[in-house]
Amino acid sequence: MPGYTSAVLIELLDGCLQKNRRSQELLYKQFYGYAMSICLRYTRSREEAKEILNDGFYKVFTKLDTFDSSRSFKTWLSRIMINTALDHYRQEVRRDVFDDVEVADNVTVDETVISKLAHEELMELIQRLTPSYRIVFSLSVIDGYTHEEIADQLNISVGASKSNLSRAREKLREMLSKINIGDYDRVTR
Amino acid sequence: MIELPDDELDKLFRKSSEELDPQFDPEDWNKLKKRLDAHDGKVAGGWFKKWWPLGLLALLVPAGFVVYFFTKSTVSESAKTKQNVAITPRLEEPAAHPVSRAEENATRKPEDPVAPPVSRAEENATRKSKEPAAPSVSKMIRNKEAEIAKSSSISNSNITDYQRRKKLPRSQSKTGGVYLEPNRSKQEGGDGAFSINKIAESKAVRSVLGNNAVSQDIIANQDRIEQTISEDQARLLISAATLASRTLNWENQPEIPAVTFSAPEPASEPAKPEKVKKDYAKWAVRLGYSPDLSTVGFKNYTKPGAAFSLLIEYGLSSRLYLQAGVVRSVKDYTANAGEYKLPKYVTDINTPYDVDGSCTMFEIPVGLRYNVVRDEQSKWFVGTGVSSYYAQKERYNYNYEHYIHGQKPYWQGKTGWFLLSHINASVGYERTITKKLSLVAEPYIRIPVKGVGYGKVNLTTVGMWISLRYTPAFK
Repeated sequence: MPGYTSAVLIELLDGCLQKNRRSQELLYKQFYGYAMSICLRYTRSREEAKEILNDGFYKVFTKLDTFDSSRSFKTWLSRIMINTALDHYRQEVRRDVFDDVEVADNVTVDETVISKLAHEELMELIQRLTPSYRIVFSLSVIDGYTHEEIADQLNISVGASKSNLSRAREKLREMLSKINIGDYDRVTR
Repeated sequence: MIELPDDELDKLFRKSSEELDPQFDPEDWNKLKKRLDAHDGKVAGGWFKKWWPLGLLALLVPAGFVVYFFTKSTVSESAKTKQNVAITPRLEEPAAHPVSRAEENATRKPEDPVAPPVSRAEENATRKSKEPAAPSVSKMIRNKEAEIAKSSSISNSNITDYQRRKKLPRSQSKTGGVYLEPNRSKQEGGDGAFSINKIAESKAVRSVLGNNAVSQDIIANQDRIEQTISEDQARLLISAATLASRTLNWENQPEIPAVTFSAPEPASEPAKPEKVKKDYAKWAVRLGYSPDLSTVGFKNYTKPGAAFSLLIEYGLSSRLYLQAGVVRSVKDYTANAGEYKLPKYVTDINTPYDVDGSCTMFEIPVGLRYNVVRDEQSKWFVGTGVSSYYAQKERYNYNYEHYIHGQKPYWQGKTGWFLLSHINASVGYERTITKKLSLVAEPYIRIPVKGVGYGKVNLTTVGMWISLRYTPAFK
């Protein structure tokens, strides 16, 4: 998002520090899409993502005085969203079973179809992964965490992190294979 | 099977994630705004949730002091009044005495042609008026006689009252129940303590009259009076100065304490009905808090919720009270999915193994309270009744063994009224703080007779009310 370190943003953050609702609303609107896209890939549904989004923004508005304005606000925001999602994941991890996705038949699909899939559909594929695969895949592939960092965050071994990433990729390939032309037409029309 | 290399796959999803731009939903901001308002104390509910214990304390402490001091001062005033009633006869006696003495003498000796001894004040006034005009003394004495005769007739009833009051029980009186008046000599039936006045008065009159020929009769009469009290005179003249300083010497007589002793008895009688009245206080208000431990089948306990109550009590008798009110509670509980009546659209895709419920409920309890043991400071009681519930806000999170796309993650909403759904039972202890305030501890249980909420669960609740009970002035 261009201009997030601009004077406008600093002004907005000042307003938020003073608990000005209008400033908070503007900041929320400005970073809604960015924050929501993070939340979506760490959760299984949009409703769940909304909860994490609001939990994250709640932390932003109530802990804004801890933000170092010399650093990137966007990076700070993404850290908060990811951490909030991880907290949520830790709370629910005991109830989730990892291997719960049906394996698709080997269906060959034209790669051009995949490239044309809507971003929402691809995000939904990530959401279909089990929580442990989804979290590791999102942290590693999209948010650039190392396996050591992931292992530390999730309290698992580095090997488990690598294994989960590998299996997540495998699952995603399987799910992509399941999408046929008909599904594609339905999604994109 | 698509054979995408890892880096291509990563690139695809990374690009998709970066370019994804979900549309802003104003409803999301509204939800967050409410939370922020609650956090910043901009809504009454938020402020209340955060500060209610402090607010309650801030209200109750000064209120308690006010009630305590008010009731204390009222009690002491009423006690004072009672004491005054008891003491009044004794205190009024000396004041009334000088007047009544003269009146009484006038009444008893109406045939006496000479004016009997009058009060000191009157005498002084007489003396002052006589000094400058000695020749008119006889006229003044005649006037005085007339005044005395007049006042004696007016105050006959007063004297009677006075005499009635002064009469002591024979058992406590050395004189057999007859009060010996200090202004009379022993020959006159008194104790002679004040009869010095007579002598002084007669002497004063004589000195005023001097050798006036008109007043010779009066002087002769005075001499006669002096003669009748001559025995006392010897004693009294010796200690005249002492007696003057012992004007209330008669109070030290052994009979007097008997007066003070007997007076409080009638005063204590009206206090009894008040005491009884206090026990029959008709109305009371209770404000309470309780942890709310809700469970289905007494298992899978979670963190307790909170319940707040406002109860009105009406006394049917001193022991039996009718109770009704409203309770707001948050009930958090976990139960097996089988204990919920789940709709088809939840179970068709996947069946949860258990459900986490979080419900905000309003409860209308109606019941009876019976004071089993009671004394001045405390009461032990039992209570029973029925409750109706109103499910105001419900959320049920469904927990599944396996994830299947499209399964219902939760249900949220409200299902309204569930009439007479629970039976209540409790025992309690009430401790009096002040006359109108008391503290109540009451463990309770709500036993389900039918299911409540979206899943129609048989929800049992236990807790313990910590309440302040206030008895208003009207009873």
